[in-house]
Amino acid sequence: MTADLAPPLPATHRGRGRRGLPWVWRAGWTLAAALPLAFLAIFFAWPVAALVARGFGGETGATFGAVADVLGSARTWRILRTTLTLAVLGTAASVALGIPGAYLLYAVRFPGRSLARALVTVPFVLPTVVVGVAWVAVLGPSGPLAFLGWAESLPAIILALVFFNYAVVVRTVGGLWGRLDPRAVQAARTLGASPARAFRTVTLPAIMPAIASAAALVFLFCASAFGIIMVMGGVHYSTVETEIWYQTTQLLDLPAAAALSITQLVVVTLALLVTSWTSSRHERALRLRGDASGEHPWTWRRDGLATVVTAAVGLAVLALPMLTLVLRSLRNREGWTVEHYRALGTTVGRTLTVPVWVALRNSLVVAAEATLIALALGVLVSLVVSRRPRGAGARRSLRVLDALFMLPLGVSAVTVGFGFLITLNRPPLDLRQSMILIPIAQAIVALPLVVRAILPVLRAIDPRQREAAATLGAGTGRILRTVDGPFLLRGIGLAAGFAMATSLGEFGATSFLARPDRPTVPVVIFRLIGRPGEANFGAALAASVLLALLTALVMLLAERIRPAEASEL
Amino acid sequence: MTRAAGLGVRGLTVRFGDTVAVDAVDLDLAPGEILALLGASGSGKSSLLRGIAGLEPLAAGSVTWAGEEVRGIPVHERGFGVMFQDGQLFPHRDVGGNVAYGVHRLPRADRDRRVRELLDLVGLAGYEKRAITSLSGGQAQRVALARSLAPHPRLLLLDEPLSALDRALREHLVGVLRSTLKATETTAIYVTHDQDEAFAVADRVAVLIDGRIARIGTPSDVWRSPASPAVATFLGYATLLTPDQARDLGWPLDRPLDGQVVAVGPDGLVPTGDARGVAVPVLEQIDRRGYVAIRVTLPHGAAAWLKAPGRIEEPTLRVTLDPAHCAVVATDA
Repeated sequence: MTADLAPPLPATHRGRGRRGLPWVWRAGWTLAAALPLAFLAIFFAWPVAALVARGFGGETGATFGAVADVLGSARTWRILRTTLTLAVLGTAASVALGIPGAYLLYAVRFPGRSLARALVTVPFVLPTVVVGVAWVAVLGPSGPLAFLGWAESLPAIILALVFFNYAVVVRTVGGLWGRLDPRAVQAARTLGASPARAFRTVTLPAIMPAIASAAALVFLFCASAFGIIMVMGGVHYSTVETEIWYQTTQLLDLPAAAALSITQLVVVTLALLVTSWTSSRHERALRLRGDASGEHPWTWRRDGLATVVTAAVGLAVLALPMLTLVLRSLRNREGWTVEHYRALGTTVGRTLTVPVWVALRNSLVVAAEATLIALALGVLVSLVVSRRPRGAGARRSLRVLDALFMLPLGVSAVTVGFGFLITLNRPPLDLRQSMILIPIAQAIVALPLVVRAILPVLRAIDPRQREAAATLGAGTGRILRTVDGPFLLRGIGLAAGFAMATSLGEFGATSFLARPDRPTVPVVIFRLIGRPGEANFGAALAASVLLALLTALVMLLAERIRPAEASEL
Repeated sequence: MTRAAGLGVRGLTVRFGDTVAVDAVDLDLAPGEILALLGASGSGKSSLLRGIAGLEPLAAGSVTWAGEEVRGIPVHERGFGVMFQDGQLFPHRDVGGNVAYGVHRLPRADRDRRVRELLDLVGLAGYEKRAITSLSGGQAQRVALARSLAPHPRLLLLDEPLSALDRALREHLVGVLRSTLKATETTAIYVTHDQDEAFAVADRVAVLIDGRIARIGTPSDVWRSPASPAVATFLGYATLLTPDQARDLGWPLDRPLDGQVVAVGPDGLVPTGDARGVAVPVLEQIDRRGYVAIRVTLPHGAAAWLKAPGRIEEPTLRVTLDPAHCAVVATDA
């Protein structure tokens, strides 16, 4: 060998003993999977299982009494009917209105598109309580749409559900639509298909898995909606979720609440099964996508209808409540005022135990803790699940692991909060007095979103990148750091945003766990809106604006460091 | 018969479920030698390469370097480099960062010198700070070559490194590749489905058919005696003739054919230009660069192509076989 180009082989080539002993890495991966699993077991499975057990009898031994009682009452069936009606109608409306939006915002190029995409996404991360308050401001007395008489009505709740879930449909379906290879449609057109036939026979089958998976997800969110129903449902509309809360906190009938939770678990598990089935088909479809982008420039003839529908939804369903919320928070009977904002420094005529700004500080502290927990666990889960082992058994275990960490998405936050209440307030784990329960519960709720934000980015790494690194002499650790690391960093921003936004707005579990002297902002808003009086409603509006701004700011920062691979939500 | 130096592959078998992709392949490679592994898509050539690199688990067989078994050694400690079809450059690192990836343990000054040296060698001097996204396809592959050579792999495995590039660039880069591999005295296995590329780059060529090595030898040996009709056909011998058919077309009587067939190469059938040979009907004429390709019907009914300097006006043409451009191969049976 020539002297200048080929010094002696590096030591690693001389077949000396193995560095990075394989068992160390196996132990490491096992730990990385075991840690989040243990967390999930203690803070999710155990409380939920305890709840289920409580439904089947508790102290006096196993009985189906409580479940039978609950299932026998006409009230339960009415509530179940309301829940399903709201979920089905909310899903249908979100999908019907979301599909044109997905097309316009992802398959069509026009100036201002990224701004439009960001604006459409804001409602999804807004606290549900804020969404409820905003719609009450629109439809309630002296609201701009008060003449419709829709306050505390079915259409009002469905509008709010669409407001909240529109982005889920647009992003899930649009994410696929924008990346469809346009040549498939072009091929159909050259074979004599009209634009309508090409859409029906080529585009629609391609995006169908995304539509189905978005619909299942939206159904899940609608069926377990809590904050919106609590604020907007009044006395006429209660769902399984609100009924659990009512039975627990107002009637103190724990077996009945547990029985309701079980009913909900069954419904939600079914929906989740459909979701996982469709999303596995979804992933297959994504892999087939061409490199060519499915985008085309805007033309009135082709995109006019989608534009009109999307603009109408954007203005009437998305913008109107937000604008109303802001404007009403700045007005009282006499005219423009900032008195509602000034009231945030007080306990609002002693309606509250602490001033709103103290609740805001609580919210921020709790959100920071919840985000840290959710990120730490989410990163571990994503790293483990994104491996590609050769064995069929190992691959199956990873799929199960993936599904396990999606479960909190399906089990309602109220159930989690209630479960915490009955398991973690006595030995061996008495955490009721420590404030850590709230961030843990919120981290559980946020975990699926965190994993959904990081995992697609890691899965987008070509496995041959890792092979290339290995052939260049990089061991498992260096591959993880140099190949996975940079992608992980890109996904983590969005994940942190989701976690923080979820935590800031979380109401279902927090309403169970927050101590009266340490409320978070959503808890305070709910308390304010539940009291009569202009001052209370005004303060609720002002606090909602504040919380919405904070959440939007968090998501805006997260979107700035958002990767091109997009998340699955 | 393991050689003292270089690569030894014995009975290497790769399976995907019930499919046998590589079927008990034996292979020896001397240090500094370049072997082209030539095969159609699906012939198992990439699986063989990945099996040697340790990227694909072996169902059976052994891989040795200098007589030492490497099968249990993890990929990153084998010292076998791989250059991938699409480069697989790391998008988060610039050109210099990619080339330096495998030599990160060297002191900074040595590392920088090594990067400079290799970029120089592949004709990309001064590209250290360029982003990966700013490179053309050909430049990216040259960076990938530099990157895989930087840590002095004792064996470099190239998996169709040029197949994503257009033809002119491919022909140019094949030269760059060979001269670079020779300049660094790198032992290399070069996988390709392109016959010209294989012959241009390699010291020896191995033709892989259905997971087995059907023929191995120097490019001229392999070309002159393909050994089987399947290899001959794959290498570009378009027409196979039985002894009788060959003699009808003027195969010299002093070259006996007992049970063998004649594989007619691209220049194996020639127009006589006079009264010699056999008259065959002209079916079609196509202008190519520098010659006209003529399709004719041979006496036994099969069609064949031949080259002529210009278009033929007559409906028939007198042709004969040129034994120098034909190969005699044993039939498969």
